[in-house]
Amino acid sequence: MSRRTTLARKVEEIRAKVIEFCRRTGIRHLASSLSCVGILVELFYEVVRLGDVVVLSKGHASPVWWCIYRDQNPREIPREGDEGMAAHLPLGAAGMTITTGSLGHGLGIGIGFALGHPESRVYVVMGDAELCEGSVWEAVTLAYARRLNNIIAIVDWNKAGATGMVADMGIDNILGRFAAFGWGTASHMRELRQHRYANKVDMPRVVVVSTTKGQGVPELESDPAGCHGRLS
Amino acid sequence: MTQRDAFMEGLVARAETDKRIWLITDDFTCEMAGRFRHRNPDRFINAGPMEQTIVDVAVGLALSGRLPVVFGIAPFLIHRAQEQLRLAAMMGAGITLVGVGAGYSYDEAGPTHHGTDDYASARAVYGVRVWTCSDNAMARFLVSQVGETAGPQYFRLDRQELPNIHHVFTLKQEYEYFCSGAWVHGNGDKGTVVTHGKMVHEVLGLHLEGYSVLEVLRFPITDKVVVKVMSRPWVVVDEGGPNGGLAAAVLEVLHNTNMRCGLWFSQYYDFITGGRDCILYDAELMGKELEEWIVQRCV
Repeated sequence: MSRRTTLARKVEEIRAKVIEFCRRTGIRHLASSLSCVGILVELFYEVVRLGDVVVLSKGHASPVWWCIYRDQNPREIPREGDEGMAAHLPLGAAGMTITTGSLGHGLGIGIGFALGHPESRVYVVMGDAELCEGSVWEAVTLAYARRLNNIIAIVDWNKAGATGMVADMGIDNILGRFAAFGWGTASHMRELRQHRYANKVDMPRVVVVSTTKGQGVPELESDPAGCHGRLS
Repeated sequence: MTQRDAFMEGLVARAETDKRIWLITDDFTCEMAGRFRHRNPDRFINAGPMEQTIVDVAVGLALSGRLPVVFGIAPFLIHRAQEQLRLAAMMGAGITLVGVGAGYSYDEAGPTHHGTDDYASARAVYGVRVWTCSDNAMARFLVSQVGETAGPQYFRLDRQELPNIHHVFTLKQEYEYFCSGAWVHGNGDKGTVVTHGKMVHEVLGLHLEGYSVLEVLRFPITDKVVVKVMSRPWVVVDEGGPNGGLAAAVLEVLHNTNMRCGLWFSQYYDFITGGRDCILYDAELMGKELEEWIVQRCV
């Protein structure tokens, strides 16, 4: 079985676990979790090395983080450990590197990690609507100013926020915006892996991955701007 | 020497051996901060005016085992980065914010620069320890407190040069006095003036015979501080806004300790521009007017 096929199967497996997990716990960020399953699976199963740091800035995708963590550490979190879990994981829970829930902090804190661990790679997974936060662009500016080549932002471009489309919020041409700030850009996780092995860009980098909100659940996919908080 | 230079001088000295110290500014500086930059260019960041992000960056550094010190003008640092500070407290990140411009010390700069409600905002965040500084001896002491807590700290410095009022003879004495969270000047029994920062100087400059002056050094105020001074009533003199300031902090601790005490507070606040002395004079927060106000309420 090829590596791609193995990865694709893992994505399907985690996606099913996330759906089952949200149904069981009642945590209501299913659609925005499903859009980034592929990103986080590829990150954790293919890209991240020992010592690297992953920051989940879009903390509402905590169900994905939780399911992957349990998949990789089956003895650490029993199934009954789901009970009482918050919709946004705090620092330390399931290996979470920051306290999540408030948007626009992950990239700034990630810069702190990148400065504090210059030998490591720091991956920051952000939502697309999160790019409305002004603090994101402060951090983008600072990462460029410091020429931080060990920080990689990954934007889950699922095109929808909680109640509307991100294009209507003025968020478009995301790659172009980052490029204008001096960042290296890519639009596929595959390119991220290639950068990993041939990293000659002395700049912070961003991968803007086009995804589908609610991916895998047709009812959610058909209503990207209205499915936030729906469990089915 | 100003408080910021006194603090930075100590920080430069500590950073020589403690390589965990980082200094991050929002395009703000002083002579000694320049020295830090010169000696530790790889641990110095002038990010420009982006207070939200430099506090987040400090959190990342702190979670990486570093001791970041964020340096800026008080109200910008605290008010702009309020949510970042709250998040830092939730994570127990040992960051240190050093804000310059307590009270009306940025008088001529106008109300945007006045530090009249900065500490009220900072102490409203659960888990944040606030130090309020009245002289250079304390500013130097504060260097030892960088990284001493599991959560965030806010050091509030005056912009202007103020004379030394804390006289200690040994490092042990210094540590014990400052770490107690309050300093008692005098031991009179007519009443107690509770104050902090610049206003300690104003109160000590009055001809108040038979009064105690309780200088608050740190928030939250603990019950150990309250029992330090038994003379009643208490009057609170503050150069700050009415909401959440020193008077509120005193009321909280009195309530929590179930102590009864006649309490009066003089707090003046307005979005105003002018020299600091003029502002304080108009507010009757200095000189004979303040003295009379205190005496009248302690009858």
